[in-house]
Amino acid sequence: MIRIALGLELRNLARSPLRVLVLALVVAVGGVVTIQGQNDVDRWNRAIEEGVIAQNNALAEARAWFSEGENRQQDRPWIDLRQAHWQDIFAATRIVRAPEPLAGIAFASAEAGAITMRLNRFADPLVAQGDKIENPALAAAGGLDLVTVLSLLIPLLVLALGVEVGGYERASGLLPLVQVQTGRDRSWIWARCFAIGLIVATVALVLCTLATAAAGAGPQDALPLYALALVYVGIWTAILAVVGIVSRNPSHGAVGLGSAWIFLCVLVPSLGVERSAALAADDFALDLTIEARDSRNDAYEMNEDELYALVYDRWPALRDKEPRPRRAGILHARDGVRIVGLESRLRQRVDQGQAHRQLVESMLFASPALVFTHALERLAGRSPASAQAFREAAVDAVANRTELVIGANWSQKALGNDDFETLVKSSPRVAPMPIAAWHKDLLVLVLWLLLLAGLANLLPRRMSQS
Amino acid sequence: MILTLVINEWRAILRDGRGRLVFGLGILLAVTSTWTSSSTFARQERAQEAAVEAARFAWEDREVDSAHSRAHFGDYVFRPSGVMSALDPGLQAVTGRIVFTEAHRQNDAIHRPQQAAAELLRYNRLEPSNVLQILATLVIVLAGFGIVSSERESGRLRLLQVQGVRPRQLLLAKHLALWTVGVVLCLVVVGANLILAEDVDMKRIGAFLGLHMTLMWVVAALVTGVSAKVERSGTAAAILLSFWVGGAIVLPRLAAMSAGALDPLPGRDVFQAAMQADREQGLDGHNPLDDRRKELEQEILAKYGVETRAELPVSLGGLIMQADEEYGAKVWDKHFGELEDHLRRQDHVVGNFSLINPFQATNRLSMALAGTGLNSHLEFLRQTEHYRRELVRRLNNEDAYGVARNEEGRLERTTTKDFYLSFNSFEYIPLRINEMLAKLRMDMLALALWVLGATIYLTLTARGMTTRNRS
Repeated sequence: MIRIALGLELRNLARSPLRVLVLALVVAVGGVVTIQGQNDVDRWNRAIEEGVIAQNNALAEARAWFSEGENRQQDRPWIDLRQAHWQDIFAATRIVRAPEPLAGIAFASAEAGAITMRLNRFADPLVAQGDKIENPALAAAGGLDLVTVLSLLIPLLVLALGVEVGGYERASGLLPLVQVQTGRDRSWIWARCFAIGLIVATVALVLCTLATAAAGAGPQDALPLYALALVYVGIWTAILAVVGIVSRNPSHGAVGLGSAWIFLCVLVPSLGVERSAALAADDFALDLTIEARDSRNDAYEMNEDELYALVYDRWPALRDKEPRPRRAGILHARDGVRIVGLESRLRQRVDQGQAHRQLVESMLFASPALVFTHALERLAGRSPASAQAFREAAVDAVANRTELVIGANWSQKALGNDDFETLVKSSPRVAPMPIAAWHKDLLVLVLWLLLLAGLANLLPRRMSQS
Repeated sequence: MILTLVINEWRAILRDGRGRLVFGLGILLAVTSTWTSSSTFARQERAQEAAVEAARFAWEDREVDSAHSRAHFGDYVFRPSGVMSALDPGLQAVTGRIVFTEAHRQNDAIHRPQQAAAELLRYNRLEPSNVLQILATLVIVLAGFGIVSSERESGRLRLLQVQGVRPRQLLLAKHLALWTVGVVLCLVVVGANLILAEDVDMKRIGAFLGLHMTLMWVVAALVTGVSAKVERSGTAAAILLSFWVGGAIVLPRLAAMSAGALDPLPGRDVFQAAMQADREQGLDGHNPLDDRRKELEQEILAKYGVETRAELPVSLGGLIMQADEEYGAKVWDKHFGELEDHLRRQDHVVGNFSLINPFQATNRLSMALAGTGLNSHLEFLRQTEHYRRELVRRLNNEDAYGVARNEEGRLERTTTKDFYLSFNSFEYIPLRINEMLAKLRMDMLALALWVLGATIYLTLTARGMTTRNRS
C-alpha cells in the first residue's frame, strides 16, 4: 500500500507546478542559507585569527624588548616590564570560543555573546560584546538559517504536499471504496502520509547533508542532525495523519493543518517570547554596572586586614607569598578583591538566568518546533548555554591569571622573561564548550511523535464529509 | 443594501463555529497581549526609573574628586522604553539597554537581558502590534477564505444575484464585513491599551490605529478577491494561507538575510581597530611625549604669555584632554557616520521588500510610530554621545579652569560638590512622528500601493464576476 501511495504522491507532485515550486523554493532557500551559514563560520574564524594576530603582535613587542635587554618602548618610559602590572598588560592572551562543526546551521541565532576576549585582570567577561556589529533591524526579523528552514519551512512543505490527504478521499467518496477493497481505510491515509513524509524527509536529509558537507562535519555531528530532522519530519507526518483522519474535505484539511502549524510554530513560541520579555522587564543590570563600580571603589576604602582576608579566602596559596610590608602589595590585593566581585556577579547572573532557563525548558514540551530549534542551536554551539560556558571560562581564566599577577607582584622582585612566558602560558587559548545535550530534546521529539501517532490511531475515523 | 449585507456577513461569521472560534480567539489574544505587554512595560519603566535614580545617587553621593577622575567614573545611561513600546516594543529586545558614558571612549549599548532565553527570540513576541499584524490578519484569512467561494459552492451566490445583488455590492459588503472584523480587533487592542496605559500619546495611538486598519483593509480586500476569484474554498485557503505565511513569517526573514548577505557589516574588531588607528593620529591626553601635545602646550603657553606650565593660571591637563576629546569626537562622527550609513543601506534593502510585502511595510511603520525602530535606536545612540561629550567637556573645563594658584604657587582645585550637583541626568527626547516617518517613505509608498492595488483587484474581480454572469 505504501508503494502505491508513494507512486500516487510522486505523480501528484509531478502534476502540480505549485507543489514543485514550493519544494524547489524550500531546497533553494535551504541551499542559500547553508552557504550563508558557512560564510558566517568563516567570519567567526577570521575574527578569531585577527584576535590571535593582535595578541601575537603585543607578545612579540614585549619579547623584543626582553631580547634587546630593554623593559620598555623608547617613547613610553613609564612602562616597565619588570613590574607585574605591565607584564599582565603585555602578556594578555586571548581566549576564544571556537565554532562547533555545525555552527553554520544556526547563524541567525539571536545569541550574540563574545567569541574572543583579551584576558588580563581588568577584563570583564560579563559585559563583553560579540564580534558582530549587528543591525538590530535585521536581528529583530528573526533570521533565516538552516534551523529556520528545517523548523518552519519543512512543516510547511508537509502541509503543501499533504493538504488534500483524507479530505480529498471523503469529498470524492473514495474512502468507503478503499475500505470495501482493502478493509483498511485508515491504513490508506497513513500510507499517503508516510509517502509524503518520505518525500519531505528526503528533502530534509538532502539539506542536512549539504550543511554537514559544507561544514566538513564528521558523523558524530551529522548523525544527531539527521536523527533530529527525521523525527521532526515524522512529527509533522503524524500531524498530517491526525488532520487527514478527521478532515471533511481539502478545505477543512487546509485550515486544520494551517492552524496546527500556526499554533505550534507561531502562537506557542510567541507566548514564550512574551514571557521572557516579562522576565527581563526589570533587568537593567545594576549589578553589572553601578554596583560593580561601587564594589571596585569599596576596595579602596577597605583596610588592609579586610583586603588581605578576602584575597586569602579566594586564593589560600597566596597566604605564603604575603609581601612585607603588607602595604607594598595593597594595589594588587585590590585587583584580587575586584576579581572576587566579578566571580560573585557571575554567580548572581547564573542564578538570575535560572528563570529564563526554566522558561525555555518548560516551553520545550509545548511545541515540537521549539524543542527542535533548541536542539539544533545546541548542536551548533549557538545556545545561551555556550555563551554562558564561555563567560565562565573567561572569568575563571582571569581569576587564575590574577592569582599569578598578585603572586608576582608580592614577590617584590624584578620580573623577567620567564615570568612573562609563565603568564602567557597560564591562560587557556580555547574555552571548553558544554557537550551538546541533544539527547533529551530528541527524546521529547520522540514523545511528541508517539503521542501524535497514537492520537491519529485513536481518533474515531470519519468515512464521509458529514 | 450594503449595510444589510455586511450585517448578514457578520451574522454568518458568528453563526459558524469556526468563525466564532477564530474571532473569539482573536479577541482573547488581543486583550491578553495588551494586558501582558502593558504590565511588562510598566515594570520596565519602573525599573528604568530606579536605575536612573541609582546612577544619579552614585553621581551625587561620590565625594568631591577631581573632574578628571569624575570623567573616568562616568555615568550610566539607561534607555527608556517610550510610551508606545507597550503597543510595539520593536527592536528593544535586540538592542542594548545601557550605555556607559566616560572620558576618552564611546562605548556601545550593552545588556540584552532576553539573551538568557535567546532560543525563543527567533520567534515573534505576542505583543499587541504582532497580534494585529500577524494574528488579526490570520483571523481575517481564516474567517474569510470561503466568504465567496463557499457561497458559490453552495449555490447561494447565484440566488443572491437572482435577488438583484450586484457583484460589486456583494464583494464590497463582504470586504467591509471582513475589514470590520480586523477593525474590531484593532479597537480592542488600542482600547485596552488606553485603559491600561498610564501615559498616552493620542496622536501616535491614532496613527497606530490608522496604520493597522489600513493593513486590515488590504488583507480583507485580498481575501475577498481571492475567495471570489477561485472556484474552490480549498484552493482559496491554500493561496491565502501561503500569502499569509510568506508575508508574515518568511519574507521578513528573507529580507533580513538578503540585506545582511548583500552588504555585510564590518566585524566589531575591524571597526574598533579602524577607529583606534584614527584616534591614535590625535592627541593622547595621557602621553606626555606626544608631539601634538607638545605643540598644543606651546600654543597655550603663548596664549597666556608665560614660559613654563608652572606659571599657567590653568591646568594644562584639562585643556589637553578636551582637545583630545574633540579630536575623538571627529573620529567617532566619521566612523559612526559611516556605520550609520551602512545600517541605513541595509535597512533600505529591507525597505524594498515592503513593495512586495504589506506586512513588512506595516511592521516598519508601526515601529517608527512607537519610537522603537532603527531610527529611534540610532537617535538614542546619538543623543547619548551628545550627552557624553557635554559631560566630558564640562568636566575637562573644570579640570582646566577650576583651579587657583596657592601662596606657594601650586595649583589647587576649587571644584565643589555643587559643581557636580549641577549636572543633569541624561534625558532622551524622542523623535517627532514626521522625523521618523520621513526616513520610511518607501514603506509608506508601498503600503499606499498595496491599498490601491488590493482595491483595484477587488473591483476587477467584481467586474469579472459580472462578465462571467452575463456570458
